[in-house]
This record gives sequence, structure tokens and C-alpha cells, in this order.
Amino acid sequence: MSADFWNSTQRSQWQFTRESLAQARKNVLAIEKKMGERGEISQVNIPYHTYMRIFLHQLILKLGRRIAVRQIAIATAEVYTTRFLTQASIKETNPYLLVTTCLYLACKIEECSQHIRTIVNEARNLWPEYVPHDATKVAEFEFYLIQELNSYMVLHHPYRSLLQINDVFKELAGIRNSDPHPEDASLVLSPNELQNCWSIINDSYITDLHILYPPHIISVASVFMTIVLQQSSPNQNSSDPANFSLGLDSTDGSLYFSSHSRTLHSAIPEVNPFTGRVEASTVLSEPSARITMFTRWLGATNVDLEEVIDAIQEMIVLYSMWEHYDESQIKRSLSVMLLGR
Amino acid sequence: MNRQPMMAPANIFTLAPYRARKDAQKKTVLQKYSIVGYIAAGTYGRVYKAKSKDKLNAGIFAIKKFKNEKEGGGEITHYTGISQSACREMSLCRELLHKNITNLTEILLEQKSIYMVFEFAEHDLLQIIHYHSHPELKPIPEPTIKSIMWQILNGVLYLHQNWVFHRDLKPANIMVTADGVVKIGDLGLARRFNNPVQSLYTGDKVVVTIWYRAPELLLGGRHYTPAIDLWATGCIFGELLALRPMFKGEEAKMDTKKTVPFQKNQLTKIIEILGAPTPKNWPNLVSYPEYTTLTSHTHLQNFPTNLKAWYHSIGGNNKKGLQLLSQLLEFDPAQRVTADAAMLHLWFMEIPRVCDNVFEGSKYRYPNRRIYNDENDITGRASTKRGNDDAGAARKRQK
Repeated sequence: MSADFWNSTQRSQWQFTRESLAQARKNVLAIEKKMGERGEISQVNIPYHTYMRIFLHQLILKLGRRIAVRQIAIATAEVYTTRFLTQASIKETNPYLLVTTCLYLACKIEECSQHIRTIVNEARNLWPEYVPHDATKVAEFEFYLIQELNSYMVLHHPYRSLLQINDVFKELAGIRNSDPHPEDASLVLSPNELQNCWSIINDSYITDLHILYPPHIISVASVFMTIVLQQSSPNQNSSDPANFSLGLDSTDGSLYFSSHSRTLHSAIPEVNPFTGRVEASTVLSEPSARITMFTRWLGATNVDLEEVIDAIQEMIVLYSMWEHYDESQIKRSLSVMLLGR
Repeated sequence: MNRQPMMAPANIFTLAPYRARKDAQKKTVLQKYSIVGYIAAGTYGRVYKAKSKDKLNAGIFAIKKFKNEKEGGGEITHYTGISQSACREMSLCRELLHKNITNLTEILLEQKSIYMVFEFAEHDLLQIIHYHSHPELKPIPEPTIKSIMWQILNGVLYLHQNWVFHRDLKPANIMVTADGVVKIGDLGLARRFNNPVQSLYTGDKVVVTIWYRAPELLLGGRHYTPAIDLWATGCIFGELLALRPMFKGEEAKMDTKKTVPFQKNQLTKIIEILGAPTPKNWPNLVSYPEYTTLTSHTHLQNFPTNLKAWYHSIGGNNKKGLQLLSQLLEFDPAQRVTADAAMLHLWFMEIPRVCDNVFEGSKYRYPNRRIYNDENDITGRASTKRGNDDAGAARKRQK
């Protein structure tokens, strides 16, 4: 439960498969359609796509930074939002009020509770035309939110497992140092790399990863991307990790990096930045000693490699789409829906 | 945009379509349960005995209704959302699943009220102790005490393995079902301790009923450990044996200056039986905020260890039982026995054996929980009226 993801309700109650998630989304669209036909919701088209999710992510970040809450509360609020929107249409509620309520509840659960007045006031400072003065609206929404969560509110985040992974790396390095023939590479993450992993995890809340996979999958994915990113772009200041590829070896299930000289079995496809479509492609240089070491370590663990790869792919798609993100259109459609202009 | 910022009108779109859709599907608490009567009242709200109307979920339940959180008195009250403690209790109970922890069936939210539906337990330790001490003392059979203690420790171990402190263990919060299974209840004060950013002390006015409060808390300790639950378990053990609270002190109340008072009376009660703590048996003692105050009460320093004599005076004669009691009531939280170590204590290994049914072989039959019918209206406007009967008052959380 609260110490253990494997016995948690996050796993038993709120973990989807790709299929069950697609079904849930389909149900929401059906609800939306029915309500639209009855004239119960706005006719404005407001799709819940990656851009909308980047927008919601940034709303929560802005409000969270304004009231200076811990990152963990922001992360929890993001998962509440994602969970809620697997059961309800974004058009049924005011999204500004939704994120405010999610953050209000998350602060309580993460033991950094804020007075409802404080949160509402700060939300009003950010979005005066969308957040009503009346704090009881948030209090009311909180009831419905808890109900939609089915009162399952304790969450496990990848931040802790990230630190645990690094502890394991430190331990390994320690053993190696006492070795008479130490290898020069160490997996221990530098402060910069840790920060990079941390940022990738922060960004991962835009995606469905937190309702699909255990938290450690996401932290392993962030470590992977960080190590490879550093390896693949030593000279360029690239924030686009989309130019590498990796896959599962079909014979022994081990993880490998593809390179030009290799045949790809099931390499991760690359995203075409223009079409946003995923296309097969080939990659990079020969993996460094560090990457080899990492894949060897990972292969020796029980971590589900297919899930890690899927998580990395999801993040790559996100980053490449993010380059074309433009919030003005989303803002405009929300304005039409909420204010009629 | 160069438009003037506009303030959201009071009637701005909030969640109306969503609310209407959900409300249409919802079953109310009275559609799902019929109320048999009310069991207890406290500062948190009230507990009712209820029967499920749903054939798939048949049975008897205890429904805890929280008092509404409101701010401001008189006519103008502002609903301020769910209290932090209700949030904690809801989220923790939802995660916990163990045979010695009261099981939460569901949570219903309606009309600004929270209803937590728990499995019903016919007895609790307060009631069992009362039965054995009135009108005359008749000791609780050793097998019953042993099985109760083992099951309490089993529940506490589960909580601690899951990084949860109970923080309010006392006889009234230890339920026993009709078939003799211990159920630790009332997690209203429980906290997760995996990531304590702020000291667990802050923000909580009430931490553990004073009779069961561990010495490190009485001495002003702030960064405490799961060991506080083991101290309380020790106090409960002593109370099961003696049929009266072991350390029945009086709480020194917060004065007008809001300084935390020195709990002299409670510490005296403890020291009278256990002797004075010293830096020798408790190396960290000197670092507690109230240490100097403690040493300034010189008469408290003169009490020798007296637990053995106390144990014999209340009729205890099993050496291993005394040993476990003294390990639970160890002053130094770092040396106090942990739940898993306590469960391996030799006392539990010897005859009579621990039973799944704590009443096994016992000739005693305890009366059923008293039910009151004067206020059955569970959905009625949040009742602030306190239970005016003995049982209600006894279960009332100490402030």
C-alpha cells in the first residue's frame, strides 16, 4: 500500500492497459456525443489531445509554482487530472477549476495542505476570467473529484525510484572501486544527469504513462534517455532525444541499441516531426561503454523492458510534438466554450 | 491581447453538466443502507450501525459520518472542503487491507457529507475491559489477552510495514468482531511517515490520548518514530491485565499563551510504576526539550523501577508476560521492542497458544454493542449535539 506500489490501489484500481484505456476514452467520447446532442455541453470542438494535455500540465505547473508547493503535490495533481479525464469529458467541466481542485486535493494528500482561499485566490490571479471568487465551487468539485477517483488517492511517483536506482549505481560503483581491475565507466548519475531525469519525469505527467505503468518503469526510461542523450549529442545542445533507437533482441529479450551496421529486430521507430507520425528509421553510433553497462545492468534486473521501451517511445513522441505546440488555439477554444467568445 | 482583464462572473461555467450526469446515476446512502441506530459520537462526527440493502453486499456495517467542515460561526458559514484529517483517513483506509485492520467497504459523498462504510465489529476492548471490571473484578482469561495482544501487534506490524503510524491506539479503538478477530480502527490520526517534510508534530493539535502517549512525546519530542504505537500497545496490555488504565494521568491543558505545557501529572504516573528515566537507560533523554523541566522536579528522580511489583499486585504471575510488557514500555524509543520482534516473543510461543478467535475456550459472553435510537437521522443536518450517554462520552476523542 502506502509503502509498496505492488500492493497499492494505484496498481490494483487505477492501472490501465492500452486496450482498457482506449475503451475508457471511447466511453468518454460517447458521453460527450450524447451530451452534445442533448445540448447539455458546448458545441465547440475541444479535443483531449497531446496539445491540450501540455496546456493542462502548464496550468498545474503555473499554479503550483505560484503557491510554491512541492513537486510531488504537482505530480499528484497531474495524475488526478489524468484519471479524472479518463472518466469524464473535458467539456463537462471548467478545466481551470478542474486543475485548481486537483491541486487543492493533492496538497492535502501530500501533506502540504493550503487553505482553500489561498489556492482559489492564486488561481484567480492567474486566470481571473475563468475562476469564480466563490471557494465553495472548488470545495464542491473536490467531492466529485474524490468520488471519481473512487477515493483512491495515494500515489507512487517515479522520483523515489529514480533516487533508488542511483543508490544502486553508487553501490555498484563502490564494489567496482574495490575491484583490482576497475572499469573506468560508472553508472552513477551526475547532479546534471539527475536533474535531467527529474525533468523528463516532470514532463512524463503529460502522457498516460502514470496510469499505464509502475513508477519505476518511468524512472528507468528517464535514466535511459538521459544517458543516451548525453552520449548521442556531446557537442550539440540538443533537447531532442529522438535521434536514437533501441530495441528488444527477439532471441534473448535483452535490450540493445541499434546502429547503422546492425539489423533491427524491433527498433523503436522515430517520429517524423512534420507529420507527427511514427516512422521506422535507423540510428546512431556504436553504444558507449556506459550504455553497454547500463543495458547489461538493466538486463539483469526484472524490469519489464518492453514497458521501458514503450515509455521512452511515448516521451519521444511527446517531445517531438511539443516543438509544434501553440497554446493560443487551445486558449481560444476554451474561451469560446467558457465565455462564449 | 489588449482586452481588459475580466473577472469571472459568479455564474461562470463550473461543473454543471458533469454534476448533473453523476447525480443522475448516484445511489444515496439511504438507498443503499438502512440505519439501525447510532453507536457513538465524537468530535469527528458520529458512527451509525447500518444494514445493507444490497443483496450482493449484504451484512451489517458501521457508517462513520464526518461532521461538516465549516468556517465562521452563526448564520454565515463557508464550506471549506474536506479536512486534512478526513482526507488522511479516507486515503489511508482505502489503501489498507489486513485482517486486523477495520476494513473499509466504501466511501459515500453526498450533500457535503462524508460517509465511510466500515465492517461492523460487535465489541471493542473498552467494552470488554468494562465488562470484566463491573460490577466486580473478574480477570480476562490469559488465552484471550494473549490472542488479543498478538493480533494487535499483527495489525500494528502491517501498518508499520506500510509506513503508517496509527498515533491513537487505545482500548476504544481496538474492535473485536463477534467471532473474536481484533480489528484496529479509527485511523483519523494516522499518518504516513515515508516522506516527512515537516515534523509530524506540526499542524496536529491532538496526538494520542494522554494515557497512551509515549514518554518521548510527553517530553516534547517532535521527530518521533513508529515506537509510539508500541508504547500505546504496552499500555493496552497493562490495561487488559489490570482492568484499569495503567497510567491514568491528567492532561495539562494549553494555557492562554499557547505554550505547550509540561505533562507533569502523566509523567508522574508513568514514573511511579516504571521508575525515572535516566541518560543511562535512555541515552538521548538529555536532548528532549522538556528534559530540564523533568530534572527540575527532583522528587520524580527518586522512583525506582517498580514494574515487577505492579505486575504482581495486579495478579500477574507469568514471567514472560512481564518481560514483554517491560519491552513495550521501554522508555527509550530506540530500544523499545518493534512489532515484529514483539510477535516473536517467547510469551506467544508457550502454552496457551495464540488463537485466531480471541474468545476461544472462554466462558465469557460479552453483551452486544449498545445501539441508541434517539437520533437515527443520518442525513439530517449535521448534528453538533454530543452524545449525552456514557458510552458516547467514553468514545469521544479526548481533546
